[in-house]
Amino acid sequence: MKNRPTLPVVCYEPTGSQGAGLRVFLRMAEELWKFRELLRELVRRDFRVRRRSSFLGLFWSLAHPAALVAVFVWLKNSRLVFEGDVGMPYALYAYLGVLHWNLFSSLLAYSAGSLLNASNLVAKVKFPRETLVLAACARAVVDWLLALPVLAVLFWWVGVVPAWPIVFAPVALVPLILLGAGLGMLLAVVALPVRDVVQALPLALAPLLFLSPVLYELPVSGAWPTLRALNPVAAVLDMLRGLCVSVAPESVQAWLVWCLISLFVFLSCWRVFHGIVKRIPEYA
Amino acid sequence: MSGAAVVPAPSAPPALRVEGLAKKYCRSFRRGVAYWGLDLLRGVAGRPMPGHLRPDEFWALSDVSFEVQPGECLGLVGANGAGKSTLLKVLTGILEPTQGRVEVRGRVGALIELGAGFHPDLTGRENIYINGAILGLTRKEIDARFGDIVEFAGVGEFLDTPVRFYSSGMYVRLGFAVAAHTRPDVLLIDEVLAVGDVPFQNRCYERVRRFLDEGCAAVLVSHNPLAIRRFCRRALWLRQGQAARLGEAAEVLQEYELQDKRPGVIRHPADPVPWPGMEDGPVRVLSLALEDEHGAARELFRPGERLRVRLGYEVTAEQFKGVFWVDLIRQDGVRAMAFTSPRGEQAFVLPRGKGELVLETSPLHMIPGVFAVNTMVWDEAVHGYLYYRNGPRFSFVHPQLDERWGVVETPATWQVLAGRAGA
Repeated sequence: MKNRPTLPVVCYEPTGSQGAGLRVFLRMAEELWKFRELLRELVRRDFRVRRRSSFLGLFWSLAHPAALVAVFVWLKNSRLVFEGDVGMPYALYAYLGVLHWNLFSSLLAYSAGSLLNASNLVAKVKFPRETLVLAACARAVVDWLLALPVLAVLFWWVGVVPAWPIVFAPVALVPLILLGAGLGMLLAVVALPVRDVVQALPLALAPLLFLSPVLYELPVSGAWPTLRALNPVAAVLDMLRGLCVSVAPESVQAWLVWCLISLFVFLSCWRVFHGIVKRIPEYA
Repeated sequence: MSGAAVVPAPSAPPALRVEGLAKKYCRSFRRGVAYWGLDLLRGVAGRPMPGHLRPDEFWALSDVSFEVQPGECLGLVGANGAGKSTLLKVLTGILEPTQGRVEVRGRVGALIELGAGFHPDLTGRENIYINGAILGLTRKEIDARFGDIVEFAGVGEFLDTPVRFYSSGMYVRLGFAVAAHTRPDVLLIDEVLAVGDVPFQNRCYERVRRFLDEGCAAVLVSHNPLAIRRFCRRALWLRQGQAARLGEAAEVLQEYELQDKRPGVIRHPADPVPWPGMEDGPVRVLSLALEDEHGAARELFRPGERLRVRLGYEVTAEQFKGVFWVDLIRQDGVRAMAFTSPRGEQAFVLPRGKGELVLETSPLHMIPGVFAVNTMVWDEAVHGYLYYRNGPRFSFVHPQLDERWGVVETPATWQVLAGRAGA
């Protein structure tokens, strides 16, 4: 028989208080860190499955934004919809918008379904559930990465040489990703007992798309500036488009504010997720 | 390798300690979600959780306590819905206890969900890594054990085939192989040893035995009493979420099998099940009772005692000529003995009305087990069943022998012929 004097003891008890403040976050992060390899495996699994399970595989990640933008460029050129100056070639403007709108909406959509789709696993195996949500988020980011080459082609095609600050573009995405992952966790954990969430999500995203400067500039009169200020997607898109041409100081300011807000949202959502996910297996 | 597991002195800290464990569930999904929401608000407000049951709630487990020492295997028996799986899920930490406390010393390995996270489109090799990661292994650990896992699963040539094309046996074998290589300190086993073909089952059993010999503690859920007897010194019988009995495996099993009628009837797989119209036939069996040779009702017999079966019948035809069978079926479906009434010319001819047949065996010498006494009425003219009835159970106990000694005990003699070579 092996000699096992100092095995760690794990205790399962009904949760009362989990300890206050930052201590909990440290524990959450530590637990997640232990399973970082699982996260990697899940992302890899997803990538492989998507590559193999259809003939065009990963091509679909870039087909969608490219097709949408093509349609809108045609609409715009035939003067059917919205005229006006967007400050850069329209195709580029629209592709930047659609690409990042897709990033945000798929962050939410993928993560909202992440626990639900793995409900059998959740019901029967113990592991940090965050990994499932984060793997779903990684999937959205992979989509984004795969669609980047089209963006490069587009720059060349419209003859725009991006300014050097473009290297900060990934950093500009931070609020979008934090918000997407944070709200995604919340949606995922609620979606298991309340499946309506998955159905309701597209319904909630559609108006947000029309209220965001994704495919067209928003009016500058009336309540629009306020709406725009309240819209994180607008803040990030302004920042990104600014990085391609020239950054306006007020968009940096708005972006910084959204960075702080999104960090706060992410941490609180994670905390709530952690607090309630333990009872999720009962409903999986 | 000896038959019994190593059980160290009780002074060693238990590998698994469960104290006053209770788990509340809700029958209604919607109500459950609503209660959950209320509980959350209560928690945020710092108010205590309600101790009573709200409508639709019930205790899936209540007041369960036990300890498992390193190297010991605790058997867990109970009817479907008695709370066995719930208990295992609480022990793995998947479900949170409503009350009480679970202490686990070391790494938990669960042979509950085999092949967790397998994706059908990925190859066996890829799935080993994913499954391993879900079970908490690092890539390095999996690399180190990869060869063993593949060898144990016996899927060598299919390693780079998507598991979609695996047979269900291979699938489960691969799942078991990964789970078996997580080197747990506490192993939770839910009925999975019943999968795969017989050689693989035996490999699983051997593997579990080795875990125990290495000092791993285990909890084994099985509906197969023989599996429990094989691994466990002690067993826990769960009935409606409560610990009905905790003690010596043989005693707990005996009591469980006699008293808990819910596991269904014990029957031989080839026997008929009661069919519609059976009651309208020419003959019915009204009762089956067990007694000893002195006429006292019994449900426990010892070696050398005679078993008397009292069979009450009713003939509804003018008269009935046929054959009565009485079978002793062991709990695992083995037909241990069968007795028939005389056949052909000597067959009983029974007049219309009610009556009794009494069968008395010679002194029984069987190996312990739980046996059901079933009866069939056979029509020789048409070669068909006329009636089938599951009867009462009895338990056969033996001061020395257990099921490792076979099915029946019969005296034999040995001779030593020294100096003669074998054929």
